Amino acid sequence: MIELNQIYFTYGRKPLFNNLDLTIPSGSIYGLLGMNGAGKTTLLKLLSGQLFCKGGEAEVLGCDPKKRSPLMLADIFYLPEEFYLPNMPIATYVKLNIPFYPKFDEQEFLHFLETFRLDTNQRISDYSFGQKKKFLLAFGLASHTALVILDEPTNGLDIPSKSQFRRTVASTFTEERTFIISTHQVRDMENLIDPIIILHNGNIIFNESIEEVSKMITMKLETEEAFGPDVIYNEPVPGGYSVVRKRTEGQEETMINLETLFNAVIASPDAFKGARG
Amino acid sequence: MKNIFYLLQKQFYEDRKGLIIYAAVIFGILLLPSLARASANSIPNSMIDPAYKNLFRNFLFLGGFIMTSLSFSETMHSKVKQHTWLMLPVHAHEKLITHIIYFGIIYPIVLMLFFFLSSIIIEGINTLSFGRHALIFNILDPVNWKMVLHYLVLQSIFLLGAAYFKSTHFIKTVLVIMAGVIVLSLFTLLSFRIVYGPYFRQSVVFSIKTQMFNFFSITSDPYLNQTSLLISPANEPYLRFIATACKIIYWAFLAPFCWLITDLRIREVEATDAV
Repeated sequence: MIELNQIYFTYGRKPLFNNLDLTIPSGSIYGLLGMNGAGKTTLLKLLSGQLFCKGGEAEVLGCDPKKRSPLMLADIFYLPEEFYLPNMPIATYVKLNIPFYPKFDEQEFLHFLETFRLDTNQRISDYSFGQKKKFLLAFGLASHTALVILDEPTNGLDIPSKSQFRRTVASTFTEERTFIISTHQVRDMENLIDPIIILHNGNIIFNESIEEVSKMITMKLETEEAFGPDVIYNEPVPGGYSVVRKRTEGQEETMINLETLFNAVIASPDAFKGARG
Repeated sequence: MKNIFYLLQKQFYEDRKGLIIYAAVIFGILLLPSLARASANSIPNSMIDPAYKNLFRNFLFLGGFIMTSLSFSETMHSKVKQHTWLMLPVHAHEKLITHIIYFGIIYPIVLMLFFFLSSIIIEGINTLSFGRHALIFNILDPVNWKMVLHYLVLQSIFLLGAAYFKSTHFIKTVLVIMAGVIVLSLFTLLSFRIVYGPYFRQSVVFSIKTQMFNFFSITSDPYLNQTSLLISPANEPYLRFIATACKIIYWAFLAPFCWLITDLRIREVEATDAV
């Protein structure tokens, strides 16, 4: 589905990506995490052919994203963090845009609009930012594209919409479809994104499924800061410390908190070295 | 072809409000002076001087060039809207062809039809109200169609400017054209001075009639009663050759050249500007 080899990309003189490798097979909802400026949006734009890598090889859906083939673009839906929607009725927007997405299912689109509680008689410009986002998401999901890229999809969504978003994305997921969700709101994505990719300083420092992470580490709330060879990370939390330890054989699996996992990977990337993509 | 049709449909729908306002402005500009002239003329059943052709030329060239100059500002050069432009599943050249058809072909033809229909309505009002009218806009006049052909060629320069410049496209394009004309004029003068140096030294006076699209029509100066060197039988074939070459460059190569550079520029923006 996605294969990046030795990708080099730079804005100006300082390289953002230098020899970045990444493989993403189809049929998963990937979570792309990283600090501000880590290059998440740039990576997504490289994948969708909006930016061209300056070195290395990229293959997305069997195509070179640099060629921006209409066939490839018709199979990618990308919801950016900031977007523009024209001022027109929903029906007109759909009529004008569905010719470009051959797999678009109008009935499903209407179903998603209903799920997101969007009034189909309203003009798009009358929607709030969050409603516009849900509208675009409904359009993208109904387009049945093989690759769905969502950049900060829950920003601007109200609390009920966030869970609705998770349910809807999960319901449209198939083995032929891959989602890449870039987010800082990891709590909004818990139980949805799996595997997790962490991008840091222009490198993929972590690319692993939650199942593998659970085999690798344990997370426990402890009253005191923990020290020792098996301790990977201590995070002060109300009531004590969230302690990340290497999991030993026979030890019970624990729940994985994505926020703590992210902080642990950023703080001690070497401890997760085996988990790179 | 299908994609181009869908792109045209999309573009037309997104522009429709602006086009309606533009049409209303044109109609107002055609109607008010026409009513004023018809009401001021006291001779019944007389014809009044129609202004349609001049206005058509102004709207065709000035309006068309401005519209063309703005054609990429709300898509390719807009940071907010660029994402939609880039992710639209069509080839770069399909986007370009859509722009050529929309601004270079559909616009002048629709404008012509609009002038024709407006003139029928306006002259109908004049006849009913004042008993006087002007000739309606002649849609079959070959002069108008030649203007449309000139527009299609010259519009390609503004299309290139629209793609090339990120802001103030129209002004920058006009400035570049002016600079180009100045450079070309200086080059031509210098070439003439070098080639016909001996004649200059003999203080032979000649004047150059520079009418548009008849660039190299050289005449003698009637006031000084001197025969021009440049229309002497020996020089005439060269001048005819230069004039023909210029016409071929203008009609056959200028627009395709601009379209090609525009296409390359669109690809360049697609490759570099989505930051």
